[in-house]
Amino acid sequence: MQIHNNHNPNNESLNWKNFKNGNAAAFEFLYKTYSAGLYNYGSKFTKDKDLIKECIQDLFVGLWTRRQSVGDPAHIKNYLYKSFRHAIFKKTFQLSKNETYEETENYQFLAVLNIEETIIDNERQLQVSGQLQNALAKLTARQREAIFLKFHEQLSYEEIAEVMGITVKAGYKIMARSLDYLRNNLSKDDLLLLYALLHLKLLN
Amino acid sequence: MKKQLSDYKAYTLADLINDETFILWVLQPDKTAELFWQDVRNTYPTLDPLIADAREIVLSIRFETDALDATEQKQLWQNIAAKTVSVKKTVKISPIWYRYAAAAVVVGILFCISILYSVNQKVNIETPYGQLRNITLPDGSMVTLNANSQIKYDKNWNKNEIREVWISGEAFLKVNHLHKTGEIQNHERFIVHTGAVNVEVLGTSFNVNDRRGRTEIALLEGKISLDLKTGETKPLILAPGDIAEYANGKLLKKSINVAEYASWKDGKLYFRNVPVGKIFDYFEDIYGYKVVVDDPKILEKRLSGALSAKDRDVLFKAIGVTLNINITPKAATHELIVTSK
Repeated sequence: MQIHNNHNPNNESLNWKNFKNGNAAAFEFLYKTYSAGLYNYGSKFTKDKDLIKECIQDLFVGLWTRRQSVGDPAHIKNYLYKSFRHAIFKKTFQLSKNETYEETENYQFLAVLNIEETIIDNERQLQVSGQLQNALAKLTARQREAIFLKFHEQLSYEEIAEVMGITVKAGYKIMARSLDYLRNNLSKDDLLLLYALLHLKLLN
Repeated sequence: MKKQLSDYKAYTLADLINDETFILWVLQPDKTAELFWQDVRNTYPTLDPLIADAREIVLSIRFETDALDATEQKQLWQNIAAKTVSVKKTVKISPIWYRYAAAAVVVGILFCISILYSVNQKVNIETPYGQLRNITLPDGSMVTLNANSQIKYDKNWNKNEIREVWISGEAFLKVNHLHKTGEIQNHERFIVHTGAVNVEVLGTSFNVNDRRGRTEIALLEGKISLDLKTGETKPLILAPGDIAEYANGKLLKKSINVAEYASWKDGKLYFRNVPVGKIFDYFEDIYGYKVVVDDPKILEKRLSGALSAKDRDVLFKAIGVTLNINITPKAATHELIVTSK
């Protein structure tokens, strides 16, 4: 699994500042840091490789053109993911300009668990993953996306809400509902998971 | 959002699973996170079983990733650059005489080194297949040499000279930090030479793997600077958690879980999404087998997990069961026969 280590907020905002001042290296750094994650995120919405690439290209070209007017987002990653998500939706559905994509419930999110990648000296985990996989497949796209952003991209609820264009409360709700669903659809004798998910219900 | 230690007192399993810092620690532990969670565990030892369970759950939730290959990634950048930051570059070619001069200098240096060699006595330690060895260097720094590896250094380390070792194969080093204040003196420096890369160290622990024309350096603590022998590029500075890889003439930095890179020294092997072919390469390097596979498709599978490397047979068996293959060592021919079931 590829994870990006951008946890030094100072470096990040310094790089952002340089980028805004027209520093080409800083701009390339942005691309190098985020393009792989963005591509992966995009591939969950569509299997059209060229479309995803086009959206990444538009996103970065747009960023560069507007560099003097873009603000200083608190979380650059969120900002990019949000803009990228918007671009993907726009391209995929050819939304008209005044229709906001938040209203669209009708999209796909094809996140699949990587079961082969589970720890091999732990058979039970393989089992747990398998069950999660089945349950995950039955969630709505929105629920899957929230789980993906939480566990793959390690975003907080606040950040998930920002990227998906929903309120924080709605973010909690989606997550709680998904996990609730998972709880009801997993084998009941898996005490560990049940225990975990029962507690997650507190988020409601 | 930084939490107080006391926040963890009443933590439940659900709190752990929902805690970004926890998820981060499980998925990509670094030094800071390791220390922090160690602190939490020391303060609230009752959390241990919860932490173990939460880890398991977080590790179960792994999504498949889709990625562009390196060429596509580069091409896409070139498209973007062409519309934004690209400036026409002119390629500078150094004149022929310049290269001859450089070659002459290299020959000169080699000559000097060979004279130095004959003066100072060298220690040369090689490990056979399947055996590790711990070595204490003249300054008290510790080296764990993996199987089928070699280390060379001067028997006596002069007060005014740089500490230098030459390594091929794989080694884990814990270097004594001699530099306290003021300007760095020669003897406070420590350099590891591998096939293509020089590693300059200031008190640190790291793993060097120099095999099959590739060099990988994983830094666990401290700070090191990497320099290509060719001197073509600027030195690359590594921070803890960084891994540098030298292959095909290029030195690149990537961030992965470095603790896993040096796990062999504690008799464990960690794989994270590693192609099986690479694991077999490792067995060839470490145990000296020639791996013979009946179905090359096996080599493309990927494996993640933690295994004990102490017992070779158990190790082969565990991997065999996971991949549904048979792994049989053949002592007579020194082959490792791999067949699909």
